Amino acid sequence: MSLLVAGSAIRGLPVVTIGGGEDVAEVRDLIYSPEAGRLVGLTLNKRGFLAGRRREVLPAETIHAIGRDAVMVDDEASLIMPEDSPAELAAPPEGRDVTGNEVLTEAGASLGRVRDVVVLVGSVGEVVGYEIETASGGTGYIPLPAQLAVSGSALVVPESTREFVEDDLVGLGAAVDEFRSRLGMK
Amino acid sequence: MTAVAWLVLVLVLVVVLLLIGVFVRRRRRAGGVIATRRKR
Amino acid sequence: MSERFAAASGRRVVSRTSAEELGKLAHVVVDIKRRQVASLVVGKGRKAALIDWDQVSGFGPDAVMIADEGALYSPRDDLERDAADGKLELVGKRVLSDKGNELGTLTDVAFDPETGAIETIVVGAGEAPADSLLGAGSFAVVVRSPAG
Repeated sequence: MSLLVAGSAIRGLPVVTIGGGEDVAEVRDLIYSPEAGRLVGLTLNKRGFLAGRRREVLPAETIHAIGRDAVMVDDEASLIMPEDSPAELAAPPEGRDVTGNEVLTEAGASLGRVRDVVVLVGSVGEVVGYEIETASGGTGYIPLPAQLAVSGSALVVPESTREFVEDDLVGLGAAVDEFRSRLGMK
Repeated sequence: MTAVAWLVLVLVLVVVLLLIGVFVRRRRRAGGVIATRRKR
Repeated sequence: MSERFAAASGRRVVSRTSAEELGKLAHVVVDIKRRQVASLVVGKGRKAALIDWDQVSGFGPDAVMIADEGALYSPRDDLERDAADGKLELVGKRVLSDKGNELGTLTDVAFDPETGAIETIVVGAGEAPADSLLGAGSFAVVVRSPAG
């Protein structure tokens, strides 16, 4: 069973061990690869009021499942030290938070601003698109194509993305497949 | 100072400290949605 | 005939040999991995004592009978102290599926009073079989998601 979840809904979720039933951390940043369209991993905060960051990181491969209420891991050993994890997770690049980025088509038209990513949670997290705030203030969803340029301030998307701005997440699922086949992916 | 004045002062101080704590926690814990760099 | 934690809570614990009441049943401690009652907590606070399941001679509908009063022991370590304080109690804990979704609050546990084997757990409006139990701790009880 898979479902589409907003990236911001994952941030702040407790990380819970299956065998121990303990909330060992909570989600801080979502680190994803726009090129691969997948979740790379999560950085963590400690649990509790006035608690700060946790050094350990959680690579996407060691996540058992992401749900509405918690991120499940087998045990606390799934949280690994940054030194033992891929570079992008150990030292997430500065200034690469896409929230607030302007979405520009290759032809130079603005579709709006990024509010969030949309993650398909089933096995490992796949990032399938973005939630955007359109110029008129409404909400739209755009599928994530592979050949995307991302900077600290903007996203560049193919011109054809314009036709695939959906009103809701349900439409996004269908739009993703059609969009990708249109671009000749998969 | 009267007892009531002391009480009010203490309450205000507690509220201020809590607010500072919440603000500090927000800054230390604020997260984002981070895009990795394209591998060359 | 199964017994339930919520119904059994507060039941008299009586010595079979002396007929003395030793206290009231406060908590049932469960070994999650074996899906089995591990021990009972009798009495509350400072006077709380534990008794291992194999020392319980009969778990009846009106009283829990134990053969030997000497089988009751005070908590010896942190884990037993937590058990005596009710921190390991399953009833009232949040239930999470292994998919990360909250299923509700655990309201009751059904078990076999002869063997101590856990049969089902009651969550909200539904029940889950004991073999779906994956783990339990301070934050939640984790069960295998019914959807798979």
